[in-house]
This record gives sequence, structure tokens and C-alpha cells, in this order.
Amino acid sequence: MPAKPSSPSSQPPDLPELCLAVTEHAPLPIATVEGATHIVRYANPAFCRLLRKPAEQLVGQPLSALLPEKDACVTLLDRVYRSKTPQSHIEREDKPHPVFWSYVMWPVLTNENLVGVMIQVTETAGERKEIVAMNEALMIGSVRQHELTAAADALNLQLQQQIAERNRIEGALREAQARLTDRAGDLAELVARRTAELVAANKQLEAIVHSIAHDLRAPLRAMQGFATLLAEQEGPTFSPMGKDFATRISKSAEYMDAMLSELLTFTRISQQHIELSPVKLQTVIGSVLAGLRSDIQRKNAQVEAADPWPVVLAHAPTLTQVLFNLVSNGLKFVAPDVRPQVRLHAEERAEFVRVWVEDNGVGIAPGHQDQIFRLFTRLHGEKFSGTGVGLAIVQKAIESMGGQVGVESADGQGSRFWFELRKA
Amino acid sequence: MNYNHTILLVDDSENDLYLMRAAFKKAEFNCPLQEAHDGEEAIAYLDGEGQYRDRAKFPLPAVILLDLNMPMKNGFDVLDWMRVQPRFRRLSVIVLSASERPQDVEQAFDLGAHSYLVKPRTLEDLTAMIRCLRDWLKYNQFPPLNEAARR
Repeated sequence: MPAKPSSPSSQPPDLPELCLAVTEHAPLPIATVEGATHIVRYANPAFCRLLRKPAEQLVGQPLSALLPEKDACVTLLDRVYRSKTPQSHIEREDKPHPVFWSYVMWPVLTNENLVGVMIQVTETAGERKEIVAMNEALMIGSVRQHELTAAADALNLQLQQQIAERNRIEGALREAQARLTDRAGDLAELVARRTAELVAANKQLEAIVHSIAHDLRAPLRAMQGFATLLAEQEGPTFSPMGKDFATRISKSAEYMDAMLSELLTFTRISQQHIELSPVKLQTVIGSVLAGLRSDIQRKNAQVEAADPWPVVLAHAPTLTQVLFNLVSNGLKFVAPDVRPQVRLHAEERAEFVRVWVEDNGVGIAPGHQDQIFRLFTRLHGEKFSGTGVGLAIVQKAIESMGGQVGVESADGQGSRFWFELRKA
Repeated sequence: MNYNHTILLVDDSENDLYLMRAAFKKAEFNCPLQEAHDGEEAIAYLDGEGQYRDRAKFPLPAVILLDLNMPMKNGFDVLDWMRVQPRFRRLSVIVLSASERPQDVEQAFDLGAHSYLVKPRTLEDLTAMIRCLRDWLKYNQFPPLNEAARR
């Protein structure tokens, strides 16, 4: 209500004029109606704005023609007329968009007589739309939030599953590691057992081989000895053929015993656990040549051992056997009527020493150079004495001392045998 | 010295004993030879047990040629028995065995053997060995074995 400057006058304001002004300016739509059909007699500008019609189009029209939901309006009006009390009603309109119409009506009374009804109509579309939109936005927001939460939960679940999987894998890995450790333990035990078994088997083999020495060689000694006695004592009564037979028996026994003896040496060298220590080559060669002295003299052989002689890492008795066999071969494998010549010398090659045993013998064709180191291989058959074990022993012996053997030779051109051992 | 020292041959092989005797003969070594066929018999002989009490028939030897591999107590057992008998410490024991094994050689010497010979392959070599023995005996000084300490 516009404020009017108050005056001390006791004259009351011109109310109708004031009321009209107030109604004209009221922000709420106000109209008066008259008669049974509620003809509109007055509509304020707000009422016109609401219905989007000028006053001229509203005044004189029945209210029901102007408002939506005519029936509801009219019913409300009638109720007011009858009861002479305020009435209200809210109506929802969905087209073109949701709006809410709020009707409030109250009677205008003069001395208990109803002279008119005040109607207040409010459309809350504008506000409601925004509220609805906001609500929708909130809802969408919450849905989005829900979706995001759901996504986060899903991700969480996935992560948890991955963690669980990882844990499972780790568990499996630990289990596998434990099994592996067990297995390694088992394997170590197995290896230890196998090693013990091998050691036992080796000992057994040694025992068998020793048994051969005694059991087989004894009858051979007897064969050789008695065949010799036979030839000596009964020989005078024998025919030449008889003497020959006795000799052959004797020689065969000798040969077999020689084979067994060399085989025993070979197996002993294969099986022995030797410890290497510094060995003076000069000493070993001296001992070997002393041992072969009678052989050298008998064959009128020339044996030369050229200085210098380094010290090598070896096992002295085994090395002695090696050199004995090599020099012995050099004295043996010569063409008839050839004076055997054997030359020994050493060569330093980095951390190894190569010992050469060179002869002027019958030589070995390149194709046969591998064969000669094999057990019981006699390249020239019975042309030369020997059991075919000598070089097999040399190879086994040198290998057991961590070295290598080899030969350079050609048929009819002598041989140059070599072996290498570590320098001490 | 003289050739009359008794030599005790200890071996379980009849063949080897026969050939040894043949070798002694070929080597022209005519010393008295006695035989024992296993370790127990050898110990009984040395101890003068049973028939061996008769020292006229079974004199104490100056040298024993001892095989190692024998039943009923082997050569090592005999050596072991002998070395704890003070009276037999003076007895020369030569091991004559088919074994060339280093551990056998070592053990024999550890138990008091004075020599270790390996039975040769041929009768000729055995004869040469016995010839050696004959010559050695010619020069070796043998201490008397203390008969009184036997009891």
C-alpha cells in the first residue's frame, strides 16, 4: 500500500479512491464479478497481465469463459456465494508446460450482505518451472553422482578383484617357491644318495677288478709255468710240433696275463682320485730311462732327453707310467733293422707345458690317429708285441691330470707324440 | 752264511707252490723248503702247534715267502700276529702276492713286511727272482731267533 504522508487532520482518507489505487497497483491479479454467471465488472492490470488480455476484453465476460478449468472456478464461486466464506483451489495445467493455478476467493460483505467476491489467481508456472528444472538438475546431478559412485564402486570392486587376484598369484608363487625349495632339497638328497651309490659302485668295481687280478692271473701263471716245465722236462721226448704246442700255450698265457695287467693299470688310473702336485719332469724321465735301460741296450737304441725340463702339476707315479709307455712304444714300433731313435723335449705354451716324444718308427697314417688311443687297438696286429692298452693308458692318465694328448705323424715317417700338463 | 736256512712258503695255491719249488730248483737254490697252505697253518707252524712242535722236522724259518690272499686268515693276519710276538720280529717276511695294488703294498709294510714282491708272469722271471733271493741270503746277516723266549 503506497504510503501517503500522514497529516494531523482527523479527516479519514478517501477510502474508495485509495482502495482503487491499491487494487490497480496490486501485483496480484484481482477481479470483481457480479450476478449468477459471474460477469466480470472490474479486472486490475495484474489480472489482465495474467490472462494476457486487455481489460476491455475481460470486463463483461463471464469468469468461466476467461479462466481455464471453468468448472472449478464456477464451483468455487458458488460456494463462496452460498457460504459467504473464503474458498481456495489449486489447479494444475500441463500444457504447454506444467503450471499451477491457485484460486483464492473471499466474499466482500456489506452489512452481512454479499456484494461481491474477491478472486485472487496465482500462476506459479514461472517459479515452478525453475524449481522443477532445478529439481531435475539436482536429480540428474544425483543420478550422475549415483552413476559416478556406481562407476567408482565398480572400479573399486575391480581393483579389489585385481588385488585379490594378485594376492592369489603371490600366494601361488610362494607356494611354488616352497615346493621348489622342497624339490631342491629332495634333489640335493637324491644327488647325495646317487653320489654315495656311485662311490659304492666304484668300490665294488675296484673289488671286482682286484679279484680278476688274483683269480684269473693265477691259472695263467700255472699255464705258463707248466707249459714251460713241460717243454723243458718232457721236451726231449716231444716232436718239434709238440714243443711248438707247448711254446704256444706258454706264450698265450703270457699274453693274456700281460693284457690283464695292463687292463688293471688302466682301470686303476681311471678310478684313482689323485691329487696333483709339482713334479719335476727331469726326475720322472730319469726314472723311466733307468727302467728301460736293458731294453735300450738290447735294441742298441739312442734315447735323448733335451733340456730344459719345467716343473708340472701332476701325479708322479701316473706320469711315470705315461712316459714309460710312450718311450717304450718309441723303442718298439720301428721297422726291422732300424736303430730306434727317441727324442724327448719340452715346450712352454702359456700356462701349459707340452712334452714331445719323437721317434723314427713306422709312423701312423692320419686316418688312424684317433684309433690308436682306443683300448685293445693294435694297429699293426701281431707284427709288434704289445696288448694295445699302452696308449689308452696314456690318454686316460693325462686326462685324469687335466691335460691333453695328441700325435703328429704320417705313414713311414716316424711319430711325434705329445701331451700337455699345467705348469706348476 | 750258509744255504741251510729254512724258507717257509705260505700260499693257498698248489700250482704256485709247485712252480715256486721248480723255480728254486732252476735257480739252483737248495735250501730246505717248508709249506703252509693258509694263514692259520702258517701261524700254527710258527707257534709250534700240534705237529709243528717237532722243530727237527719243522724248523723255524729264516725267511717267509708270504702270499696275501688266502682263506682262513690271510697274509695280513699273519703279519699282524707276528708283529706282536717279540720273538718273530726278527723273522724276515717277504710278501709274494699277485696284487699290485698300492694299498696292499702300504698295508703290508705298515704291518711289518720287509719286502713286497709281485708274482711274476713267467717261470723264467720267477726263477730270476729266486736267484736274487739266493744271492741275498748269501749276504744277509740273520739274527738268531730267541728260542728261550717262546714260553
